[in-house]
Amino acid sequence: MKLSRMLAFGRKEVLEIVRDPITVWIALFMPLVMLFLFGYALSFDVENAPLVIVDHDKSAASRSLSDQFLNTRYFRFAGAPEDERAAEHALMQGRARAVLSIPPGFGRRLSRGEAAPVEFLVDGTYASTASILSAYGRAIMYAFPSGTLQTPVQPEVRVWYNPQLRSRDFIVPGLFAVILMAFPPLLTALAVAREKELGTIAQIYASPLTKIEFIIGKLLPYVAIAALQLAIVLAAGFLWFKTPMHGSLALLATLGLVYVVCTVSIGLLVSTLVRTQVAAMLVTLIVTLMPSFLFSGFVYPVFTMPEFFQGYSARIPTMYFVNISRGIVMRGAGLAELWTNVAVLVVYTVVVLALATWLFKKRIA
Amino acid sequence: MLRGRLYGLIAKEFAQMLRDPVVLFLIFWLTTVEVVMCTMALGFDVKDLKLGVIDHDRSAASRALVRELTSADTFVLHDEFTSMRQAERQLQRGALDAVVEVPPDFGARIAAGRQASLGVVVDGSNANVASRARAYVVELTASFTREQLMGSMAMRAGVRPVVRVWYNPDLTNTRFMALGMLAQAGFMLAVILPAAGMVREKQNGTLEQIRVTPIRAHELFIGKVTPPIVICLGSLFPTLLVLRLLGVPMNGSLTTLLGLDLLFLLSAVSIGVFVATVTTTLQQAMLTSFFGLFPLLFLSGSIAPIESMPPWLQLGTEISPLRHFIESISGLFLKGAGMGELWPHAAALAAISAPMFLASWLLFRRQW
Repeated sequence: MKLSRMLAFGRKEVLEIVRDPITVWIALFMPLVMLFLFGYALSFDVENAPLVIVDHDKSAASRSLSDQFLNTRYFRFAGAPEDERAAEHALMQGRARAVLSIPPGFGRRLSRGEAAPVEFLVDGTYASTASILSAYGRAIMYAFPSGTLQTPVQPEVRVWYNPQLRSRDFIVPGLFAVILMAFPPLLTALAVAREKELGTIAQIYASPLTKIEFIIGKLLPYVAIAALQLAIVLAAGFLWFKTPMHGSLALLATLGLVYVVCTVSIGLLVSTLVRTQVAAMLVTLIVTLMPSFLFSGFVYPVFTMPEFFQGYSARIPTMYFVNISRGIVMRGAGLAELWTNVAVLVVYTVVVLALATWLFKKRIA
Repeated sequence: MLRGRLYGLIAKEFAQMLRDPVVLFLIFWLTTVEVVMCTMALGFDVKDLKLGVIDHDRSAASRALVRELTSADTFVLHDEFTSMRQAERQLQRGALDAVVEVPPDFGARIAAGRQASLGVVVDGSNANVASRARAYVVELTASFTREQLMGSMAMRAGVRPVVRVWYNPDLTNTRFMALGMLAQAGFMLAVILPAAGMVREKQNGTLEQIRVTPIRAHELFIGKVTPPIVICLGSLFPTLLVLRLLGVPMNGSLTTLLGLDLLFLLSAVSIGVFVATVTTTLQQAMLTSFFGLFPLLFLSGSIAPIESMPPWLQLGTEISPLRHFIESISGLFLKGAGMGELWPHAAALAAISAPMFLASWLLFRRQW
């Protein structure tokens, strides 16, 4: 292994990247766009779900119940149709997520002290929203009429580690992991596949460059880009989104660097396996982006998955960095708590790089 | 003559697209295995949350409360503690999901008809789980209160909530997830394939060769966009078949689905064509389509509920064809809706797709 050869090759790679402004622009801008979109768009708190109210009773009591619903932040008024048919239509069209249907005689029954059934229909399409809405709907109805009777038990719910239940505080640290898994490997995967598709790989076959020199020379420039992306997302996450940081930024940045070496290596491995850039892109989508988004615990908690898929999650490095990042940012964890995750990442990187070197055949296929 | 030329072009495109076995395999993977995986793994039920209890009261009322909280399968009683200190440690380690602290005078206050408070701590490190846990605690306490009141005769009756969940009574994410994946897979392929097909000719210089043949711009355009659309429409069938085999019922009109999918794919291939016209190398094309895909993918409502987004982003979701497509197919398959209910989304899809398709054609011709 000759350092000068490796550096020269790395320099060629850097020049190639820099001379393609679209690539550079996308490489640096895309993580930001993704961070912003997710930071703002992903929220699991249910707020302002459109509620349609069918009030057959039109009494003081029925109006007061409707108000109870609309006074919470969970529901917003989305219309008061005449009958259930119209309400059903709204539900089907997706203009409403829930229907409150108050039957005639509701107020009279209540004042006589009888049980007054009220129907609450929830659109179950999005299961998570539906279960939250039905829980709050029941709670509001159980507590009604609170005007005449004090609710004697007041649950004071506090949420730890994320007091306002701001999804963003939990999304952003997870996003670091997902973004750094999405873009660096993509860029890297295209890099070797491009040489193969354009035939410039033959020049490398013909050169005295060894396999290891080739792999490291390819790796380093992309690790540098990935490190830049890491810096950008961390800066945006803490400066723009003002995500509260309970741990050490230096630790997060260091482990982030370990993580990007790992993700870039995965891209390199993909790249040595496929022949075309389209294939490289699709494989990267399937082995990095989709699983890191879906199976890393970033959105869907790993513990809710069937065991087989928990095993699948464990094979994706994103899960470990999600743990690391959330651990440091939200709970102020240090290396003592996180070392197992770090160890897995390091081992993973070494294995992937070894595999990439081994599989890269220096010959004309 | 013209027909022969067009057929030849389309056949060539198909051959070129499917020649790479990896790509063929990936299309298959995306539309079947990936859909199945998401469908099976991401049902995402919040069940059996581990509840810790600190009962300072030890009265009948406090025991009844704990019983109520653990009556459904939402919470299971994990452990009892004597102080918040102990519980705190467990919560930090992630061994508990929620802790309920019952104050010493809880039972006495309730018996006297006075307000009693109740401390609840929920682990917020997964906001997704925490927001559900919080809703359940609020609901179960309200129902407990209600029973206590009824028992003490302070109130004989009141509102009896009859809550029904439509379209998805067992509240699983399975079918919605499957539909979302089906739409996303089609979208990605329909953007990437035409973009790659066009840019490859540019990059390899074969476009020059085509220009000197009698092939006209519109023929090449049709030749380029037809195969991806056909492949994506065709890939619906393995998906539907696999879902049927898995016992995920998909009841809805197939023709409506195909019609809507076609409208939707038109917008997706238009994006592909846009990408192809602004880029010159495959690498740029792949990255740019990625860049365009993501915002649209994540503004589609298949990942997070649209209602929870800030208003300006909700407005943004209106221009995502994926959003309207997912709303229509979930209406079609989950709610059993027909065109009578679905027309606003179909119209929106058409309103997005038609101008995009036209614009992509104009751009393509300008570059020709």
